[in-house]
Amino acid sequence: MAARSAGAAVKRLARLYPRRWRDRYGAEIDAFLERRKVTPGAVLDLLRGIIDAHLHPALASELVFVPEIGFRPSGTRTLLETARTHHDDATVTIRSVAAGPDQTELVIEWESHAEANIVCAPAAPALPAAPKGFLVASATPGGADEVVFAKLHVPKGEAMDAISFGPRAFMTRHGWSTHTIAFPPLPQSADRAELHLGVDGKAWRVPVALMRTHVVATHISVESRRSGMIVRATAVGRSGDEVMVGLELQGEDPRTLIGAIGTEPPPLIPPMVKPPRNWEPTADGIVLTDDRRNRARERRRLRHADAPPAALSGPQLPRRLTCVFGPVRHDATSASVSIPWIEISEVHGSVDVDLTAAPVIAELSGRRFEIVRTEQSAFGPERRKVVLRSLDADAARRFVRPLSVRSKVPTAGGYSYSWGKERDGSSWMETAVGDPPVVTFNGAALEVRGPWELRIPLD
Amino acid sequence: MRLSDEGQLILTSLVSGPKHGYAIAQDVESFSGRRLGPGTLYGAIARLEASGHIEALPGDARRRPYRITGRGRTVLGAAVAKSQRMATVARRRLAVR
Repeated sequence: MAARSAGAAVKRLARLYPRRWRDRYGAEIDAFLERRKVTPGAVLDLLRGIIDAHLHPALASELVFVPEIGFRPSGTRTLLETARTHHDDATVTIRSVAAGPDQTELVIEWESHAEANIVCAPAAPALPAAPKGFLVASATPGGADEVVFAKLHVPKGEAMDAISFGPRAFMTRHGWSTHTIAFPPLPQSADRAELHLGVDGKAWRVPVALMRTHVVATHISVESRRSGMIVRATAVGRSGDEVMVGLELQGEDPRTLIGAIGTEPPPLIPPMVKPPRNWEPTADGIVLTDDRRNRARERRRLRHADAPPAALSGPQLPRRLTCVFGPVRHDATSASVSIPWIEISEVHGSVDVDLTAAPVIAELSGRRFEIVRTEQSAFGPERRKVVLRSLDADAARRFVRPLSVRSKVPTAGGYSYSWGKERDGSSWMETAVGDPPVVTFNGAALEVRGPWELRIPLD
Repeated sequence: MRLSDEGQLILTSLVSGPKHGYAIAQDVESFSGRRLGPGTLYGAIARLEASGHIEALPGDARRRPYRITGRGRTVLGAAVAKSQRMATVARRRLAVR
């Protein structure tokens, strides 16, 4: 009894840490105190820590936000201005850079102006290939795979090979795509570098100038648990009329595979393309409401490229993303972030459907759904948009749609995970369709309803 | 930034793999005999995070794991090399006497 009251007293003492310290480390310090015996030495140590924290309050909060990349450690350098080069029928643009203590990340945009596109298709993964390049699939059906070489040159230093090469978005018929390329960390003194890209015997060089990132952000620690899911807000930053919030999501069962999270804002598309009608945001997205009940929509979403799990059936890393909301009043001091639903994925099960039979009811792993109709896809003449309606009555984890679809004709294309929601609540998927127009639906996307509400400080 | 003694101990612990705060303290005590209290531990963790020598990984807010970054490994390596040079000089001089 005495030990329990001493522990409770020491935990109350920990409330003397500054608010930002408590937001960032409070839960960890509490958990630590619960496991340690309370001694006079431990109490003195905690008091010293509290005084130190009050003398150095910024230590618990320093982060920065890099546009198009996300939250990074304080001291991360970023692009001074957009850098671009154009020749050999292609324009390469560096849109963002995060030069941090662990790696240097570049977001590049690739526009091909030639008739034969040399755009990298993100549906096929980028694999390391000898020597020090990345193997990517051609965007042209039947085209040969290509190797992309990427190096980062530092003045008076060695050229660095890329660590990873990841696709972000693409539009094949417009010859456009964006990618993230990661390199080892730059020397701390380097304020310039030059990216060298090589594909198909051609090369592009783009010089970049760096500066210290000026968008300061803060670590926070706010959690909401509901319906077997855990959602945390881990960072917040402000720039102009926008608020950026870092989120982590995981299932209480660590094997839970997380898919979509609320209806997303419009995806990245090239500036010359008008968004199709079905990309307009619906009301079912992640929303930020300030302390005067003004609502701000999610404008952009950044995904974190964490290492993939060892197996889809084992424990999964929490999903991380950064949401950018706006407009938000500059004098708002707190806000609430609301996540309406989270999709979880089951990868097993499949069913074949002849699209000419639509409307038709299909069953996948005991779950029934209706293929309502098919129509021409906005993504190309060889592709079809398939509109589906779930017939599943399970309220807790509602079957929304299959996870992926592909044509039974192998040359028509690979698995397609593209999907969206129609205004009447039905879902659509789209895929290349061969002859005969038979497709295979795989896996299941299940919707877990929230909302998960997170109260965050904005000052 | 000069690495403190506590910072060096924490980085050494994380070289063997990501750990949360209590696991770091237990590991440090096992290999160095030094017992880190929560005030000292989290003060050092905050400094190491701010300077980019460690990074918090996603996870439970009460048991958040940390990992050493590339920069952290470089700084720890330099600190260890300096300590080794000092130890070599001290050993040589003690042997002469």
